[in-house]
Amino acid sequence: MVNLFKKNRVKRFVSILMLGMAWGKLQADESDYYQLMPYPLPQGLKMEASGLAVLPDGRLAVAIRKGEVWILENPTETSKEAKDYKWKRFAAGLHEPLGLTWHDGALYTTQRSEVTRLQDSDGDGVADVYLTAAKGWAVSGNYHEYAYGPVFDPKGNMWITLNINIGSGQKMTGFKGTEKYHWRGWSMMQKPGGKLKPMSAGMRSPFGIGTNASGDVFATDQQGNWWAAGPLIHLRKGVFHGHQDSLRDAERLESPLKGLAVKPPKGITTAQAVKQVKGYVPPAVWFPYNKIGNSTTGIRCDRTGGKFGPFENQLFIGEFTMSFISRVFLEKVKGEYQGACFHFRKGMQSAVLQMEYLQDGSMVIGESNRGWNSLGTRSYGLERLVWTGKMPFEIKTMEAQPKGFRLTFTKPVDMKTAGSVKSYAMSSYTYPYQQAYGGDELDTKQVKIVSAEVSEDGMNVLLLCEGLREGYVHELHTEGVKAKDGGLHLLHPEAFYTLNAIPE
Amino acid sequence: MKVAFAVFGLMFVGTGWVSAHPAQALPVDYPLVVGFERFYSADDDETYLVEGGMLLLNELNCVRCHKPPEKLKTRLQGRQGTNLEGVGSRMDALDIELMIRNPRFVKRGTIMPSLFAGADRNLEDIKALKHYLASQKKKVKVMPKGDEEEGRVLYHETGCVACHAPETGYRPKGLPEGVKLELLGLPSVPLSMVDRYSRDALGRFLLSPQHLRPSGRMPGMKLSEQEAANLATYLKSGPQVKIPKELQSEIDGGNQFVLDAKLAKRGHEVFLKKKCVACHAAPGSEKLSVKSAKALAELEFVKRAGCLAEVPSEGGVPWFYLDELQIKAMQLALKYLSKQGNESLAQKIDHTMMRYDCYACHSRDGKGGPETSREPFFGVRDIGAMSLGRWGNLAPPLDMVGRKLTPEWFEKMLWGEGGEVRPYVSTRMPQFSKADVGHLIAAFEKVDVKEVPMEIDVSGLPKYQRGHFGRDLMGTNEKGLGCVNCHGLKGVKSLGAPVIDLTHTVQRLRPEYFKELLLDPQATNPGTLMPPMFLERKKANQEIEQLWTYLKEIDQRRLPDGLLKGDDYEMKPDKEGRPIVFRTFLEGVGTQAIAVGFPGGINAAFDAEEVRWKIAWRGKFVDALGTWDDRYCTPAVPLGEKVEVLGDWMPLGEWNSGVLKQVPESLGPEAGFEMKGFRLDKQGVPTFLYQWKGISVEDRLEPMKQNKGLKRTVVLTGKNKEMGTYFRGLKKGSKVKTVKFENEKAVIEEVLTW
Repeated sequence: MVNLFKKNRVKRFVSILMLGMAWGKLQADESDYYQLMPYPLPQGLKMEASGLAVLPDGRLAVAIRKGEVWILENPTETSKEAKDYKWKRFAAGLHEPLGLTWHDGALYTTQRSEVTRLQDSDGDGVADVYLTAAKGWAVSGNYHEYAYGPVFDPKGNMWITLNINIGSGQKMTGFKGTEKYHWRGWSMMQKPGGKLKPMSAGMRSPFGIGTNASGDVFATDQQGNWWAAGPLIHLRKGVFHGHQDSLRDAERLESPLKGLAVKPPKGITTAQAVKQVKGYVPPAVWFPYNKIGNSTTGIRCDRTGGKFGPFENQLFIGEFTMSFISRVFLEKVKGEYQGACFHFRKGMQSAVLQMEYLQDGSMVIGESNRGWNSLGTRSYGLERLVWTGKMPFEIKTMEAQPKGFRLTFTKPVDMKTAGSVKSYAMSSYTYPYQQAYGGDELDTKQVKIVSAEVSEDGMNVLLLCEGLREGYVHELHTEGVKAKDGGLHLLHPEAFYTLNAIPE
Repeated sequence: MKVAFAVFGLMFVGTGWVSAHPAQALPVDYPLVVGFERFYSADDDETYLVEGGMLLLNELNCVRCHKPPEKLKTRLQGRQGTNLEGVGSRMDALDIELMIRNPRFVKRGTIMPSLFAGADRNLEDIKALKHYLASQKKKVKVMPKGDEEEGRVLYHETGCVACHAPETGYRPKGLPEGVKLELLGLPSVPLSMVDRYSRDALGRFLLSPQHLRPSGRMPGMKLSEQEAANLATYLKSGPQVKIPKELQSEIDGGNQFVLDAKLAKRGHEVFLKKKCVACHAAPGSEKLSVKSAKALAELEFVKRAGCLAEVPSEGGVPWFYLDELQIKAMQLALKYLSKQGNESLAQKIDHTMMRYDCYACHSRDGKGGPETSREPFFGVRDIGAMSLGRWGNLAPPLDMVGRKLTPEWFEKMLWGEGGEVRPYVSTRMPQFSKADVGHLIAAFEKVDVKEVPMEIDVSGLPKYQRGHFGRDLMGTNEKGLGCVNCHGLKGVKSLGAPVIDLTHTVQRLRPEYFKELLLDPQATNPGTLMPPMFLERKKANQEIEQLWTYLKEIDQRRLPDGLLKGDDYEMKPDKEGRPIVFRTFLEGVGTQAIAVGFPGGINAAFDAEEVRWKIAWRGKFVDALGTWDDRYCTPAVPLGEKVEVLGDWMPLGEWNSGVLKQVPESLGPEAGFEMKGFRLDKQGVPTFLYQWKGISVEDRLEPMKQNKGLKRTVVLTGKNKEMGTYFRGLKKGSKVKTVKFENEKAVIEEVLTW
């Protein structure tokens, strides 16, 4: 199937999507479990929601790309009238804020050229202090030089990610901009009271930035040059994620990545790059292109304590072009994060940028497709995703085992179908590590499933496999598995595990 | 006989007026079936005339009494007659009686036959029927006061004249003086009931014609209540045809009509007996079936007898006063009835279009369309549309319409609302009923299907499909095709002649047709004024998909260049007069500009990269388009005049050995300056905050009185430098001067005028 459509990515995606739809129709519908509720918008407000933060009192702050921050007093309201949500403009005149977070009594947002702390010193509900919380990266004026974040880790360190420039900067009288592109494609971190410092390099368009349940910081990136598909990467000091453009700053004084700026060998795969490219650390999770992602965006960890369903502590990942949200399970194997991604909920009205949880455990989704395109036909919007309380039949986790994988389900499985190897199919593949845009799956091989052993309570299946390969994505299909009660198929039968390391 | 003669007298009164009013237009002298009238004549050969006869068998409702053969059941369904509910409130008793006796003299050209024309007619039956019908009361809601002149314009410009006669001598708005109106060729549908109905009843009828005339042959015209009142007022303004007094007394016996309940009850029986119920719905008669006359196939067609007789044959046998051609056609239809099959989908469309007279306005497959002499009465709202020729005022041809419109839009056009996309046309698309014309949608779709399907990807996923590329193509910029020269969008008029507004294109058109039309406009819509924009364009496929994507997202996207007004994105201070503080890429400053626009047209910009004020200007502030809505972040430009470039130095420095020989060239962080942000005061005026070598700086500009210039206040907090601190003002040529600290604080003021 993959080879068949190799030359036409869209067709491939559409056919997969349609398969998915047909599957969905045969079985339960996503909306039975998670309902989408678009917010009515005030007249004339272009809700290109690029940053979301919930205040300690439950109000929702939304940054919009035009450069404003709005606060909804009643974000859990369900009225069809925009006025019932009580929208109020909190800040204006910002330069394309792409991120928003509440920290230490104030809202923080990253503009094109700085991280800003927005304060309301007189308590009138409108920001009157715009403090420069961090700056120090080059802004050439190239449109693609987006800056994302910030997020704070448990130590109070502030993290941001910086987009590489694609093309040259702007020419303006009076604009010197001598150091035009530094720290582009890097993640940056600032300790409390410290200076902003470069941490890791090798990113392209790392829109998503967020922490997992342990407080480690992750980013998503966009398929393109040096990225054959969208990745989820673990940000920390001294790591090179893969995109070569950023290495032009590797020798700068503050760089923790000295000695990396060496031309990589040609014609290698990402699995080979782990050994052959100095400093390269592969993504914790690949989102196989057009199968479960085209352009990954926001990251949000489910810390709702079960209010959002059975996926507590897992990560949810936004998707721009295909306008959906996927789900990620992470585990640490041999000291590094890796894991699986799953489909979760499709059908957003526009490109998904950010997600955030309201205090009632529902998820708010911020959207805008300006500059690109999306399956969702709206140009922008804000909507809520609410768990109906009904338990979906899903693969909750997929853990690597020395000789296979252990699946944990959200509901007990039917012993017969889940215990049959015929219910499963698995293949594995890797990607080219190349400057050319994107890249097809390479070296695809079937993985033989030798046995499927169901636990007594029906919640787990141990799949013993032959032909596991380190550094390869292992794509699992479980179309044959049924639930114990009702005989439903899995709501989403695919899982994509990035097996960087096989546990011992 | 006397009465019949007297009725001729009434007729004379009606036509004798040398009147301009459409209600007095000369009617035809036989039952008018518009489809037959439009397409059949004495010259036609027999095989063709058979079709006309079939149309008449249906339209004259023959099949309501004469059962059609089974295979023709769907083709020959007949039509529902006038709903007689409340007829006693709409018409007075005398008119009712005349209508029963001889319908065609009351309602000229009517298809209603007389059932009492024969010599053996029963006058008692007529009387009973009159009482029964006069007892059908339903209060007619009063119409608002109407304006005759507005009604006249409405009548002549919304499309009434497509079927009905214009007022003699009426000249449509905008018609050049020298143009002579031609005489009408086709007979018009008479406005006979205008005189019979009260203005209120007429107005109510016009508001929803299908309520009283469920046949749907008279469609709704989407009138507001006020428009219906205006139209009714105009229609009633012609010379009223009065029943001559002697005739009235002849019928009434000189007495006023008094309703007799007993007679009314008997009238109901007559209503059934005379098979009125075959065509008419009336309260209490809904469930009654009519005992069928001879089946259609069994009728003798050669002899002129029964319904087709030359003179009324006998009481109770309908007499239509048919025209010779009509009789010939019906005879032929009956003769060849056994050879008639059920209609094909294409025929079904054609038959429907004939029955509902869609052909009065639309053509399809070379058939129909308004006759030339009526074309001037298809009005325009926008004189600019006149330059489009027939495309500017006439209804579009319906060739290939089944592969053009989406089902959703068909519904809007045929019986819904809001389907109009030609705001410059004043003629309205009438409203039919779903039951009558709903089948057309699927039929059009099937009949008009394209043999080789057009392929278009509208998934919105490939990169080249991005909406902003489509926007570029729509506009008048250098990449644009200039679609907006003719097409308006979102209610904004096109730059030139008006053509279809494209706002609802995606809901309205099938994407395959959209592509077909754009690739080859003349082949797709012959005669269209749409130029072949994609001729020899190598990326036509992609570009058409881009246009589609843009139109799909149009409600949330900005208008194309050309339609966008120059000041749509100009930032102006709000009503409260607070300054605008706006971060942007700014010409004259750089990528980290914070522009401040004070009310009253005085502006300045701070460079957060170099940590200093960099320019000031007067007049308009900036345009936010590049910052808010442009993919490539085109830098904003100070819009006003007199841009003052400020001195290329930092405001503070250290004396070098007590003497400044040369101002240091370094700026911003290199010179030890660190940006800290800004603070807004109650009035919204920003104070910029930065740090210089241990000294905290607050730097603020505000307009002077009468906006003469800007006043600057700089507050330093911290210890004076060992070598001493100097300050240098904004204006070019400013000299350095020593800063005096008191209690680790110094306040410096300066004035900037230019």
